[in-house]
Amino acid sequence: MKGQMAGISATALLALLLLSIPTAQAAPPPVSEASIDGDVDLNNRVRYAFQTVPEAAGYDIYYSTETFSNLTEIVPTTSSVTGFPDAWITVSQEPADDPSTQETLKFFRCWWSLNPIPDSLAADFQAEEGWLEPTFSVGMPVIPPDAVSVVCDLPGIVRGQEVYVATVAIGEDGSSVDEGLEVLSAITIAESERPPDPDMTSVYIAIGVIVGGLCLTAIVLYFLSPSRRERSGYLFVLPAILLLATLTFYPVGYGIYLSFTDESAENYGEGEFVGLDNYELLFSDERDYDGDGDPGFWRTFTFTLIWTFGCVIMHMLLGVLFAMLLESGIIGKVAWRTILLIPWAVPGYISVIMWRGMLNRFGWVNGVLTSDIDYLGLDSWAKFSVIFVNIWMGFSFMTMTTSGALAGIPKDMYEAANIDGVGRYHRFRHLTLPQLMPALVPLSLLGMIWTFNLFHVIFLMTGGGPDRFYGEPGVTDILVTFVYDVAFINGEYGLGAAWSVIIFLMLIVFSTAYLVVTKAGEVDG
Amino acid sequence: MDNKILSLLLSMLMVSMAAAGCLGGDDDDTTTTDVDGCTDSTATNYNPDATVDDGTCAFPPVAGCMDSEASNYDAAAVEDDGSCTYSLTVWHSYALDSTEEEAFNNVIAAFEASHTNYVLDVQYVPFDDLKPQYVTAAQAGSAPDVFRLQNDALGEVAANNVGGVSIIEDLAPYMTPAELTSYGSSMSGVTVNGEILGLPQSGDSLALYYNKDVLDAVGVDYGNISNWTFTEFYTAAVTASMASDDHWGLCFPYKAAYQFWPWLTGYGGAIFDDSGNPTINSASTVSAMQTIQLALYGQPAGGTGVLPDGSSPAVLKAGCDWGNMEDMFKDNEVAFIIQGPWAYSGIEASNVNFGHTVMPLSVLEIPFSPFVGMKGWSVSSGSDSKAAAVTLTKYLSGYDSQVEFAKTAKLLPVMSSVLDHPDVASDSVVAGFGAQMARGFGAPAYAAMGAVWGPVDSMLADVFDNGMDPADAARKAQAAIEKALGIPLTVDDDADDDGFSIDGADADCNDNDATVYPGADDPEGDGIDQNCDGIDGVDVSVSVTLMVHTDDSMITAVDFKGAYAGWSLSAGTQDGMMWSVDITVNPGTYEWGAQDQDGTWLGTMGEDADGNVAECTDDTGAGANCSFTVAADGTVTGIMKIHKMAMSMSAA
Repeated sequence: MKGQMAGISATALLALLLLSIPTAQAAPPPVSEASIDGDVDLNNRVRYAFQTVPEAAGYDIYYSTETFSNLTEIVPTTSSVTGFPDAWITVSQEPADDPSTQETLKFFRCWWSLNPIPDSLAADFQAEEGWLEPTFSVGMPVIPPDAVSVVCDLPGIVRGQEVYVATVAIGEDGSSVDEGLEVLSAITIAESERPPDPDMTSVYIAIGVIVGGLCLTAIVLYFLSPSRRERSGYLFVLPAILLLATLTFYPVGYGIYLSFTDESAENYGEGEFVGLDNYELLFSDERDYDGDGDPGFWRTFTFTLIWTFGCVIMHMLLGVLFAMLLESGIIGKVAWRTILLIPWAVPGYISVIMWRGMLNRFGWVNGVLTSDIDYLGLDSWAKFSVIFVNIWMGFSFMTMTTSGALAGIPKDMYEAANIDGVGRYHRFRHLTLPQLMPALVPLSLLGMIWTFNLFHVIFLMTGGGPDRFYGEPGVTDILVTFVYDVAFINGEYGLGAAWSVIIFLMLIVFSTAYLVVTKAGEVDG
Repeated sequence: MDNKILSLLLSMLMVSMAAAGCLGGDDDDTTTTDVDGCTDSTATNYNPDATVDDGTCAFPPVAGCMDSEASNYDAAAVEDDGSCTYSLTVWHSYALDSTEEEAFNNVIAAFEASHTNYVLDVQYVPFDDLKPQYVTAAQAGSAPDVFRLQNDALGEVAANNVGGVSIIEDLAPYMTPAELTSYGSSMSGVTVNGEILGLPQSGDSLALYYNKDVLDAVGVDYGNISNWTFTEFYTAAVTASMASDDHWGLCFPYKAAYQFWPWLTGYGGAIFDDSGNPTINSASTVSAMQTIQLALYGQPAGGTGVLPDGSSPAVLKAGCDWGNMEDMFKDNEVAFIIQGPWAYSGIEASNVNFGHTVMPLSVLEIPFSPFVGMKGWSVSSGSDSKAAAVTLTKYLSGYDSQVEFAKTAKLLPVMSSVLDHPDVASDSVVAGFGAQMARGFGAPAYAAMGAVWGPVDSMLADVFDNGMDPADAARKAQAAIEKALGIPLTVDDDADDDGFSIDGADADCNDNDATVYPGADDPEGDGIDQNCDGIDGVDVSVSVTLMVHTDDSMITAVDFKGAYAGWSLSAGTQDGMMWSVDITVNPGTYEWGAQDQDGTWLGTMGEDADGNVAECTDDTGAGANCSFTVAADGTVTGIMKIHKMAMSMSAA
């Protein structure tokens, strides 16, 4: 230490003598004590330390791709800003933290100490006592005059390229001595992390197993089947089954698997098996942001039922009504049919966007009614609006199919009923309706499945809104539209998959129960 | 895919070898003496006579590209010959055939000219699609190396991890401190938790527009406007306001959060602290709202106003919003508006004589710092050539690129040094807005920013529409933001402990008085709305239809008036002989009457709901004091209909 001090004063004296400038403020001596470490595993950074010199008001740090002994010999690196030092440090009585520099702008990591340069610049040297973080001014560190050594992680060092670094001490008047600098070189080879390449092996194995299994089954069945006719049947069916398996069964299976993992946008590719956690989360208080005792599942489920039954029942009622009207010998039947086809003929997305515009608070509906109702922003109105629009879009399809079925009812039955003096109501109740049932039952079942999972109307009309509370379903969210939010807005793939599995199970239960109750499966011709 | 091709090739090779074996089977039957040596013709000690390789081959040092990130990396190379080339995929979102795309093409061409070892695959992805497409591509391992994103989406996108690694590369280690400094405070808008997620390239922000004709008319000298203090600015606004009743000093959408940020920062506030926690509940927020209140309502003598007696008139027109602000400005009704560069061409086209400049320093002498929305370039963490991708990113967001975009597409540069470039400094639009933007703060890239807008909009409406105390409103906004973010509350959202939160559904309308909360007893007449239904007393308001029945054809209009509305006139509608008006009233007893078009009181015979006829005359004999009573349960009794028959009919 003593020797160092003597060395420094000798250099300073020498500099004074050489320059022979008798001014009060002389250029500070060059920084001659420094060390560097490129092996501290810092991506595109090296760790650099230097010892302060007396009389310095600041330090400029320069990078060069070639070694140099004074500033004119510097060959700036590609990341250098021409004509500027690559970094600088100001010496000042440590001011209170500069409020205009936000934490986020302190990119230049440094530490200072009253002790000399540490022997090792290893990763956690600054954890030892005596190392302090500087304050900042315009993104650059400010150290107090009594700091003896400074360590900085110098950024902007291109990986794998040797870089030469030196520090120039700057005096109060901006003067400096740029000869006799301690020029050090280092290379950093640390790489930043890179996401792993997606591993498709498991996907190929799964699809391979499915395809292989099906082929094998087909082959076995082929040889087991007694008749030639059956054999060729298996071959004809196989391509379709294979396509179905890879495009439908596999994703469904994968979805079920996902629902037992914590896969999410934040840990994509790292999901771990978490058992039934996702299913518990659906009903847990953890997700009950608004504190009403329901994390949104039951509320969404209830609205899904209202939506499904409301839409399908109205579709059926209006469908049968309009079909009866069309079949009742109305004048201009073709014209009426064409008009009734319009809601169905217009592409669904366009219909929805059109209605969204018309139902906008400043849209056509309020304009015509001279009202001021936010149809899509008020809870009840929004619910009503989405259901209304879906009814509008769907009833004409029901009309067309029902009127087709009506046309197929033998007219002689009605003639016989007329002769027997059966009234209008009874004719409908006991003749028309039973004849229509074989068409209506599967239609309504399909309608329910479609509507239960009908995504685009609500997604495009309200996006599930108006929103109730961050993280909870919106007022018009049905199960599928909320699953979309969970999976693709919040990025919780595992949880989203759990929701989907629940919906899937509901639909299975629902369809089975419906088929059993209505015995629709047995209706035959 | 490669494996398939490889296996195909291998099988073909095997087949052809077998075939070659068959064909060449009986060609060479002669036996020769084996000679040991090096049989590789590329070796330095190649022995052309050798027939059996003895493993002694020596090779010269191989020169090639030694950078493992290059597309022509040669693992065998021991000497770098400078031949490294880099293939990069770039996704941009500049609308096709726009001036922005033209500028972008110029920048790309300049880059390729100066970096001949780069091969760029530039692809257009529509702005709205880029974010979701990038996330999906990154998860599938096929992300572009460099892509363009708006800064407020950075935090959200970077929150996506693949295999535990964020899909956006942190650029902090790649940048020298000097490079970072050249971007100035705009870096705060692309930095999340200390990571630099992109380099900003362009931005926009609010600035001050001033109407020269209005200021000239009141004799305000605006020659030095860009250096005005807040007092000078305010004095000018006051002078313009006092010119006439329909002239105003200032108009801006004071109930929009986006417009509130400059005021908040001007009073030393911030949206988030350094750790990313919201800091809306601060003295700065309150001071800023109080200042806007003074501008909106003025202040009496003896205050801190700019007039000699300490008073100050209202300078900010009540009801200013995004819609009417520009109209007032174009109609020369307002001296100053606060608006962004996007409105410039529309205002210019209206031929109004105007200028635009930076907002003055606040009374604390710190800048009003507008919210700067930025777009810039980011690097994928999955890039195979990260260093090369960073080089390209630095170029695309760098000085030359910002100059080119400012010149060609009028995009505001985020580097303040670009504003000094001669071509940019001479462009009044870019220079004027750029100077204001340089004072702005980067829109925080925190994903949490999305939870701030709504509550702050509500806060401003609470204060400026509903008269809530600014401190309470700030506390309410803070609570709402923290609840939305799901972080612990730093404020007491039920200061009066009455069980009702200051925010949310069923909010407490006065959180400093435990007797006030939704559903509280609200005795009428004390002037206090204890039950938060917006009126003093329980709101059991009912609809009442007041009617005048007349066959007098001389009557062409009937105006109703009564105590229910402070005796102000409201026009009735006619349906045959019946004139009526629908009113909504709270419980109480109300006198009322009706006048014809000449202001003459109509009728003296009243009729109640049950058809009972009664006389309603006041002391002067005029029909003013018919009265009806609404009971607390909403039932209505008394006279709601007046009969006024034409004199001739009565005579007959």
